[in-house]
Amino acid sequence: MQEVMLLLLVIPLLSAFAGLVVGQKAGRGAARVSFIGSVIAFAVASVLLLARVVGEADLTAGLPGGWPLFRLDPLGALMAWVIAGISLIVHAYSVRYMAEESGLPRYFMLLDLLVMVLYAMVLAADLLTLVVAWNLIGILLFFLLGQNVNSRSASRYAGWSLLTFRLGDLPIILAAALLVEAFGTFDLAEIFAALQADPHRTTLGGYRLAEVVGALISISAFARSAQFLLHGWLPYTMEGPTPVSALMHAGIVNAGGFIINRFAPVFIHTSDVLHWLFLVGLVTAIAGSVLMLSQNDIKKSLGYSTMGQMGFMVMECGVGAFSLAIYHLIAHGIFKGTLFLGAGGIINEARRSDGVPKDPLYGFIVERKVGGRRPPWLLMAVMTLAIPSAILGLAHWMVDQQILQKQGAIVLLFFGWVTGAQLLFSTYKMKTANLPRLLALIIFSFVIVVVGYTLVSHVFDLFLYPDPAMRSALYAAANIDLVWFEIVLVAVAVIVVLGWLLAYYADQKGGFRSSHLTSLWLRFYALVSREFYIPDIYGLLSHAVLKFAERANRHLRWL
Amino acid sequence: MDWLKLLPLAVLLPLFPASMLFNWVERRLDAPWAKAALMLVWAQAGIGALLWLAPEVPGFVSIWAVGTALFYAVRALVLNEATAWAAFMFVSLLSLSWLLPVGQLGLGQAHLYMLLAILPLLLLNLLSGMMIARFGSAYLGLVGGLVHRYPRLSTLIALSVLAAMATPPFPLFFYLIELISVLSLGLSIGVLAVWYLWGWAGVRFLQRLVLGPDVCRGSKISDLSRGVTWAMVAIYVFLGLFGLWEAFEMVEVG
Repeated sequence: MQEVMLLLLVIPLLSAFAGLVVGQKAGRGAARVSFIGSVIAFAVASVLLLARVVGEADLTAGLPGGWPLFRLDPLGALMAWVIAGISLIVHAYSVRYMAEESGLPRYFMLLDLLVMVLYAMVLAADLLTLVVAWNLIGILLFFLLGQNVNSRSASRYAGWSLLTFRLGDLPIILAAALLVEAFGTFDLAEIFAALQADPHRTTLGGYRLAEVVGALISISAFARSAQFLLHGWLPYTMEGPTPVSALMHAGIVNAGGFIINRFAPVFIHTSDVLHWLFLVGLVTAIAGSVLMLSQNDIKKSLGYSTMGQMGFMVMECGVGAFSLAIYHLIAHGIFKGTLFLGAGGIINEARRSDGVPKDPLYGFIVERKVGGRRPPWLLMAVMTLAIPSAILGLAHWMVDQQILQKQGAIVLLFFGWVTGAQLLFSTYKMKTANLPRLLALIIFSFVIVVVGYTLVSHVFDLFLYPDPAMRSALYAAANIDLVWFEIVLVAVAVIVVLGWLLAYYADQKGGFRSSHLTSLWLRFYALVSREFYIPDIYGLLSHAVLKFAERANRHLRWL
Repeated sequence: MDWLKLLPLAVLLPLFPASMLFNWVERRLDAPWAKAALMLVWAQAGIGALLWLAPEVPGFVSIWAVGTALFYAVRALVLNEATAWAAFMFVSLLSLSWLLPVGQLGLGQAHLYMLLAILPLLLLNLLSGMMIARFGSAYLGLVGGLVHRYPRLSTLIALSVLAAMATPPFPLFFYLIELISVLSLGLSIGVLAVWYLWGWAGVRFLQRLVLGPDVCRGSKISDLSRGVTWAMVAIYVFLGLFGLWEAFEMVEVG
């Protein structure tokens, strides 16, 4: 089976260079070679995942002399399979989409090399392989995003993404240096075992090693997963080829969730890092969603949607639901990849007709027309509060009866409840003609989502972290003081309910008339439409550095 | 403190402002191959002198060395001439030699490592010579968008720049990791900042020279010959393999 694992890395490498050679003579030959390679790689990745599912033990393939190189554990096998699947779709799409583009052999070579490096990252058994792969992803993505070499803005934003990625490379290199200095080995399994034996080990400055390494890995994850303040590159890299955008949003930007999971044995020994993850993720999720809603460009909107989803993924890690974050990144990869690949077609269609059937829902959302009768508000209030609670409680109780003893799980339940309640609350405003039908459909779809999400994430939990002690340790590391936890939970619930009451009040009065509130709203809208001025601030900072360099060179006469 | 040892070293392993001397000499030379030869001799003399004199490097000199590396890396961001860019990157790289654990390095090993670290910049100088022979200059902006018509030249320039900005699997990447693992936290952060700036400088260099719209449109100038291309690719393959061997040694030692 070691040979099969190595085959997964060799196939894209061979396909990259074979495609380049074939492509010199017949450009489209490169596409065919590359596509065939991705089909074989997907088959190999499926075999590897199947082997892990049926209970094959961890496999390690390395060089004689102690360099472990690659290891097939549940996380690696699952991620490799996801990457192989997304790569297959992206390759199939690229064969036709890129057919008329110049530099086809170069494109497929870079694509194959990128996929190989992604495999190397998820299967890395040692810190050096991991750091090398982590670093190379940014380099290869830079060239792929700049595939349209005539476009200055494509090249500019490709450079921006590489520099953000490189910023994320610095902490992981520092973390690797600290771990190697502490334990004298690069092997991840040995490092985690040594840390487990001595979790209170300190490092430079007397800080706890686990805490410092956890913080550094988190910062790397933030840069890779476009967390707030490090997100600017993501929505601006849309001038790259659409299949590259799909691969990036489905298989690269979510590497932050992967790396946090890879270092889970470090995070269980941290005390504050997971709380920071939660906060950063929360802010990113909110900022990304707000920015997404304010865009009028479909691809940019998808870019900000990815940012919001990545925030949610990091937040899940922050509450200790590590395997849920993996499920989330896979689910997001599939739906976001599909949306990107379909975006061009949708734009094309929308130019002729928006294609939305003019039913009551269309009338409400697009034309802002309301019709029919409103449901009784008391009934809706009871249903809004009770139904999501019942569905969520039942679904979670089915998979784990101790669920309410985990703070992280309660936080996620709370989010689920808010989402479900918001959904039902919206129906109150819709004034539908057939209320029971609409409510039944909403509740049914909510049940499907919750049950699906709960069951699948539970299966992921058992597969990725089979040791119950590890699962509990992850949730325990995310815990905060119980009194504070309850205060925060009640405060957030009160804020949400007040928000609903405010929305209800505004709806009854036909909107707020206060000029003060209108002006505040317009200011907020201006802030959002300028993307919180973050790209401008980065622009000013880099401009200042370049101006300084120019002045220094002029004064020192280029010596 | 052994000033008599430190002063000549400040010129050979350039510390600002003594670093200006190297740049002054480099400017006096016209031929890019002569510039490459100067870099080779200067670096080898510097590392040889460091090992021979083996001075006790005071803490402030290490900080000064990192400061010099940062300063030249920042200045390289806006350079428009390929040989000048290589010279600034060279000074930035060479000044970090002050941080090397001198006692742990053998003489031959140190000379070899230095050669492999600066080799991409030497090759970039030679490629600049080929550009000057073809276009009359290696000035970014006047020459640009090379990838459209000169894929071989572009590939080699891209490889040189990637190796110079310490990208794996080239040796400089692994040297930096080794260096960081023996430095204090403050100096490590300084070295990482230099590494980041090299990346920024490299990206800007590639954006203006290799990528972007075709500036040389209409020219009938030929690309590099197959022979030269393969010879230089072979050097980069060797560099990459040596980098991996270096990585293997690191893992073995732990």
